[in-house]
Amino acid sequence: MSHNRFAGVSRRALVKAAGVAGLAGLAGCFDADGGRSLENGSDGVTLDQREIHPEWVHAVSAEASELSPYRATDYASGLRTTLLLDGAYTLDEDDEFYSFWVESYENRGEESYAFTLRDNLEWGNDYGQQTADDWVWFYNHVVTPEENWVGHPTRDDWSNVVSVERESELTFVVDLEKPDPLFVRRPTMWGTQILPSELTKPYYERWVDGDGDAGHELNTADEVLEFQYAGNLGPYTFDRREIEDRFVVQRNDDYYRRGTEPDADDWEDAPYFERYVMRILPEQSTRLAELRTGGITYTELPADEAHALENESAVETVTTPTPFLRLAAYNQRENGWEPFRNQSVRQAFSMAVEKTSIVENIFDGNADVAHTFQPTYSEFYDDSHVREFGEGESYDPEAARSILERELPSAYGYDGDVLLDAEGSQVALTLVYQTGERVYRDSGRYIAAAIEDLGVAVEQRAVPGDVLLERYAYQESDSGIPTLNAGSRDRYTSDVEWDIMWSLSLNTFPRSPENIGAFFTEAGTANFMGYVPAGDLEGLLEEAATAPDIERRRERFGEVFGLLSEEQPANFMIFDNTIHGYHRNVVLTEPVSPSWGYKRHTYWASEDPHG
Amino acid sequence: MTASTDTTADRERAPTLEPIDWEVVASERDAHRARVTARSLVTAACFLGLLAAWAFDHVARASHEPFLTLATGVAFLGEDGVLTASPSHVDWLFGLTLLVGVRYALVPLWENPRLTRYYWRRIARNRLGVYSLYFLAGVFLVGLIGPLVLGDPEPQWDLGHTPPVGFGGTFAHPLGTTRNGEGILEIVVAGARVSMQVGLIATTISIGLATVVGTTAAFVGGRVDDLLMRGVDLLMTFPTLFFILFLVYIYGGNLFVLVLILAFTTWGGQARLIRSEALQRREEAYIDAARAAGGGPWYVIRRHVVPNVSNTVVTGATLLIPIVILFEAVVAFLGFGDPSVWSWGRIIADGRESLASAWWVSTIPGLVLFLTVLAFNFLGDALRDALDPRHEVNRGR
Amino acid sequence: MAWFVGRRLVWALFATFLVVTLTFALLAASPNPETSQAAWQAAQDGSDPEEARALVDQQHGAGDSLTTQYVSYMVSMFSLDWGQSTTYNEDVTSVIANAWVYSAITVIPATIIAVVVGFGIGLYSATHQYTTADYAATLVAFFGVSIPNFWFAIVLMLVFGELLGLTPISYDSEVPFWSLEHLSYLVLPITVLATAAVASEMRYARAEALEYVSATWTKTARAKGLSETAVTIRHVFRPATVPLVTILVADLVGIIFATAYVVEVIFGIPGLGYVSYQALVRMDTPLVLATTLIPVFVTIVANLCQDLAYTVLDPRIDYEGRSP
Repeated sequence: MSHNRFAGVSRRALVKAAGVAGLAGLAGCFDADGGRSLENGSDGVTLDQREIHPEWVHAVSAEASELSPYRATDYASGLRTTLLLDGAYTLDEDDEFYSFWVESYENRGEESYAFTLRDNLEWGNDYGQQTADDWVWFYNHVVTPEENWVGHPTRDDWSNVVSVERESELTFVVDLEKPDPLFVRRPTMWGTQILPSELTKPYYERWVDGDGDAGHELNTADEVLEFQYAGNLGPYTFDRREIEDRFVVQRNDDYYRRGTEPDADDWEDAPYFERYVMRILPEQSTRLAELRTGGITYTELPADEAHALENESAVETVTTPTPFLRLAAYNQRENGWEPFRNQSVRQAFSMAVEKTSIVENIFDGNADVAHTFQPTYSEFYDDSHVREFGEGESYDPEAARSILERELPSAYGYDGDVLLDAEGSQVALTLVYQTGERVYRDSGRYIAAAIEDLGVAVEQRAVPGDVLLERYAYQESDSGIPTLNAGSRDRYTSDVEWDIMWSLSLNTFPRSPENIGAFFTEAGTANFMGYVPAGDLEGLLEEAATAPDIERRRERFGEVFGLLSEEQPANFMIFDNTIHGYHRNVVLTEPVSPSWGYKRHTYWASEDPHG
Repeated sequence: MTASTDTTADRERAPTLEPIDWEVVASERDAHRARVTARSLVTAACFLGLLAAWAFDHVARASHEPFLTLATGVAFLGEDGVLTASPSHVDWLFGLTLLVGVRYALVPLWENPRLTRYYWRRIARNRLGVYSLYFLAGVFLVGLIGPLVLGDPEPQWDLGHTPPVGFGGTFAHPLGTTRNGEGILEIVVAGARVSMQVGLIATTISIGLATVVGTTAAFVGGRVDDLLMRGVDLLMTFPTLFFILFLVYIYGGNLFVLVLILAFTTWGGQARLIRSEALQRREEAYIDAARAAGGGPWYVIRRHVVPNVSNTVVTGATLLIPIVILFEAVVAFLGFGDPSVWSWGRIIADGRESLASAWWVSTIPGLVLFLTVLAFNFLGDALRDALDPRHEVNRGR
Repeated sequence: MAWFVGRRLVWALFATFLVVTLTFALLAASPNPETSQAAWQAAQDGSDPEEARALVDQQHGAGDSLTTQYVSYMVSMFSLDWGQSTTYNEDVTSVIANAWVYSAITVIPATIIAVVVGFGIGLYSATHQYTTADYAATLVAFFGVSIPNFWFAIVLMLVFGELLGLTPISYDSEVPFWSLEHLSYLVLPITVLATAAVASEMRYARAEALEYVSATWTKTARAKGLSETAVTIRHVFRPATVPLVTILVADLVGIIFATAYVVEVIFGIPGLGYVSYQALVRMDTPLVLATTLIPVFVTIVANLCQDLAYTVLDPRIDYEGRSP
C-alpha cells in the first residue's frame, strides 16, 4: 500500500541529515560486508565481466507528484529527477565533496566559496552549455525574489547566502553572511538541481508582467515534465511516464560523467543498464514476491521482513543507518495529561518501555536503540552526558511505579496495581500512532502494554500519518493557520486530545545539530508537544552554534544532548535503518554508509538480472 | 373451548356453520391483549435495562475496571478462573442487536411453534442450509463465549512464528502463532466475535433502514416514492468502497465508526427489493380492509405491510451479512482497520508478507472467513427457497 | 415517451450534479494530506511551514475561497473541460483514458466470462433444480462469491506465480498488447475478478430463469412436444435475458470501482479503480470529481436504458408508472 508515503523523507532532508562519517564508532555501527565491493573481490567478480545489460527494474510504492526540479523535493519525486539530473555534487561515505556537475570547490575564507563547473555539461533543447550564469540567474531570480513565484520549497536553505556571483564562465562565488566552515555539507548547493536559465527566463518575464500562473506553467510545461532540457546532465534520458504505473528512462549516450574522475574506473561506461524502469507496485507483498523471484532488480525492504529475505539466495540486502529518530512524544500541552509536565513522570514512563525488545522483536534488529536526539555515530554525540532509559538496568517498571507514587500530585495513588486519579478512577491515557506499516502498530501495542504495566489504562488510536499531523500535532494559530507550535502550551492545543504520540520520525541533523531547536525550544517551530526545557537549552544551542572551534562545539552539543536525555521531552525510542534489497547479480561499488547510493549509477550486474 | 368439543367426524356429518362463542373470542382477545401488553413491557424493560447498563458503564462509572467480574473457580477459564468483561460501545450495540433479534425473530418463532416447524421443514430440505445454520451457530457461540474463555490474544514478543500442531508446533499454540507470538487460535476466536458483531449490527441497522424506506415508498407512493427511490439510486451509484475508505482514512478506522458507515451505505439494494415486494402487497385485500377499518398509514405499514414482506427482509438480511463481513475484512486488509480489534481481515493482511514462510498466519483465518461467508450465503439461499413462494416451482421433479 | 426520457435525463444531470457537489463538500471538509506533509517537512527542515502550506494550496488551486472554487469546478465539469489533475499535471481526460484501458482489459474479459459461465450455470441449475448437478453448480458459484477476493489474489499469486512459476507475479504494461504473453499476465487478475462475478451472475440468472421455467408458455411449449433444450433456449433463456442484460452495466461499474480496486492494488495494475482512489486520498479535486461523475452518470443512464428496454420489450409496462 502507499500509505507509507508519509514515512518517506525528503531528499533535501536526507541531504541535510546524513551523518558525519569517518569517525570513531562508525565501524561498529555499520554492516561491514553489506556491499559487495570490488576491492573485496569476495564473489570472484572482476571488472572484465562488466557489460551493459538491458534493464534495471526498481519497484516503488507510490507515484511522484512533481517532476520539475524546482518543485521536486519530496522523496518519491527526487528518486525520479536524480535519474536525469545529477545535481551540483554529492557527499561520499566520509561526508566529503564528491563531484558531479561541480568539478571542484575552493574555500576562500570561511565566508566565501567558489564552485567550478565541469566544462562538458550540455543542456538539451539547444540551451547550450551549463555555465556559471545559470547558477547566478537561478539565485537571483528563483531564490531571492520576495514572492516565491516558482514555488521552490527549499529557498530557506539559502538564508545564509548573501550573493552568488559569476567569476568566470565556469566559476561562481557564493558569499555567506555568517562564517560557515561546513557550508559544502549544507544542502544549499549539495544535490541542487536547476533548470537552464534560458528556459526559465520567459516565464519569469511573464511573472514580472503580472501573470501569476507563470510559475505553475513553468513547472508543468511539457519541456520540463519530459526533461527535454536535461541534455547530458544525468545518467539517463527521459523516455516516458505512465501514470501510477511506471517511469522509464533510457541510457544517456552522452553522459558527461563517463570515464571522469573521481573514480574514473567505476564511471567508465556508466550507467551499465540500457533502461532504468521505475515500477509502481503499491502492494508490499507483491514487491517482495517480485524481488524473491527475480522480477525486479531493487526495492526498499520493510524492517521486519528483511531477515527473511536475507536468507533467500536471490536477494542481497544492505542495511544503512539513518539520522531519523522515531519517538514517543509526551503531550505537555493543555490537552495532554498534566503530570507529563513533570520531568520525573516522563522519566518514569520512559523507564517502563524496553527499547531493546522493540528493536529485537518488532524491528527484527533492523533499527538502533536511541537515548537522545542524536545518533551515536554523530561527532556531536557524547556518551558521558547521556542518561539511558529503557535499556538493560534502566528498564525498570518497578522503579517507575515508585517514582510515580512519589512524584504525582497527592490526589493520585496506587490501589494495588492500578493507578487512580483524583476522582478515584483509573488513569486513562490515549496513545496515538500512524497506520500504514505494521511495525508502527506492533510497537504501538508494545508501548501500550508496557505503560499498562504501570497501572494506567491505554486507549490506542491508529490514524494515517497526515491525519496524525493535522488533527493531533498541529494547533490552529491566531490567524487560523494550522501550525506545529502556535504558541503558549497553556493556550494552543491540537483538535483532538492525546497523551502520547508514537511513530513520528524526526530528523536529528547530525551535521548541523543547531537545527534541533525547532523541536525542543519553547518557541521552536516544530515543538508540537509543548515541551518547555527546564535547563537553558536555547542558550546552550546558541553557544554551540556560534562556537569558534569544533572542540567547543562538540562540548556544548554534548551537553545539549545530555540535557535532552535527562529531561525526556519524549521517549527517544529508535533510529530507523534503511534496508535495500538487490537482485543477487548486482555488483555494488561503494562501502556501506549513511550516504549510501551516492554512486548507484556505477552499480553493474555480473549477469543479466532479468535475462 | 366449546368449539373444540366438536369432533371432526361430527362436522363432516353435519355440515353446519361452526357456532361461535363470542365470550371465548372476547376472552381470547383479552388474553392476547394482556400477553401483548406484558410482552411490550418485558421488551421495554429489556431495552431500558440495556440502556441503563450502558449508561452506567460509560457515563456514571467512567472507569476502566472490568464491567463484570465472575469468579468461576474453573482454572482454565479466563485469567485464573476469573471471567471479566469490559464491553466497548460496539459490544453494547451488539447486545442491543441481539435483543432486537430475540424480540423480533426468536419470540415470534417461539410463539408460533406450528409456523416454526413449517419453516424448519422447508429449510431442512436444503441440507447445506441446515449445516450452514449449525456452523454459523457454532461460530456465533464461539465468538460470544470464546474470547471470555481464551482471553484476548496475548503477544509473546520474543516467541516469533511457530507453526501449528502437525507442522512442527506444540499444543501451547495449536494453530501456530504470529510473528509477535500471539496464538492464531485466540485470534480466530476473537475475530469471530468481531465479524459477527460487524455483520449483525450493520445488517440490522441497514435492513431496518431498508424496510422503513422500502415500505414507505411503496405504500405512500407518489412524490415520496419518487424522492426515496431517487435517493436510493444515488446511494447505489456512489462508489461506496472509496468513500468508506476515504472516511476511514480521514476519520480513523474505529470499529464503531466503521460499523455505522457500513450500516448507512449498504441499505440501497434491499430497500429497492423490499419496495417492489411491498408494491405487490399494497394491492392485497387485507390492506384495503385494514385501511377501511380506519388504520392510519403508519399503523398499516407496521402491522400489515412489514410483516408480509418479512420473508424478503429475512433473506435479504442473511445475504447482506456476508457482504458486510467481507467489506470489513477488505478495509482491514487495506490497512484501515481498528488496531485494537482482532478482525480476520487484519490478521490476513498481517500475514500476507510472510505467506511464503509462515503460511498459517494468513491461511487459517482466511479459511475461516471463507467458510463463514459461504455458510451465510448457503443459509440465505436456503431461506430464500424456503420463504419465497415463487421458488416453490418444480418441487416435484 | 419523449417526456419520460427527457425527465429522466434531467434527473440524470441533476443526480450527477448532486453527487459531484457532495464529493466536493467532502473534499473541502477534509484535511489535505499533502499540505500537512509539506508543512511538517518544512518545519523539520527549519523552513517556514506556513509558506510550504501555501505553496501546496496554490498548487491545488485551493487559494481561492470555497465558493469561487466550487463555481469554477462546477462550470468546468459541466462544460466538459475537466482541466488538469493537480497531482499528475496532466489532463484529467488523458489520465482517465489511460487508466481506462487497463481496467477494460481485466474487467471486460472477466465480465464476459462471468456472463457466459454464470448464465450457463444459472440456466442449467434452474432447469435442473435439486439435482446433483444443480448442487455442484451452486457450490462452485458460492465458492466464488464467498472467497475474500484479496486473499484469493495473494494465494493465487503465491501458488501460481511464486511456487509453480506458471504466471508472472505482477502486471507489466510493456508486454505487447496482442500476445499470448500478455494473456499470461492477465490470467490471475481476470480469474479473481471473474470468480466473484460468475457467482452473482449465476444467482441472477437462476432466479430469473426459475420464474419462467414454470410459466404457462413454457408448459404450452412442452405440451406442443418441443425438446427440453428448445424450451430452455427459446422460452426460458430468451425472456430471462432481458432483465439480465440490463443489470450488466451496473455490474460493470460496480466491479471497476470496488472489486477491481483491490485486484489492481495487489497485481500493480494502473487501472481506473486504483487511479480514482489515489486521486481521492491525494485530494486531487479535478480528478476526483471526474472519476465520481462518470460512474454516476453511466449508471443513471444505464438505469434509464433499462427502463426503456422494459417498456419497449414488454407492452404491459407503461413508462409513466415505472421506476427502476
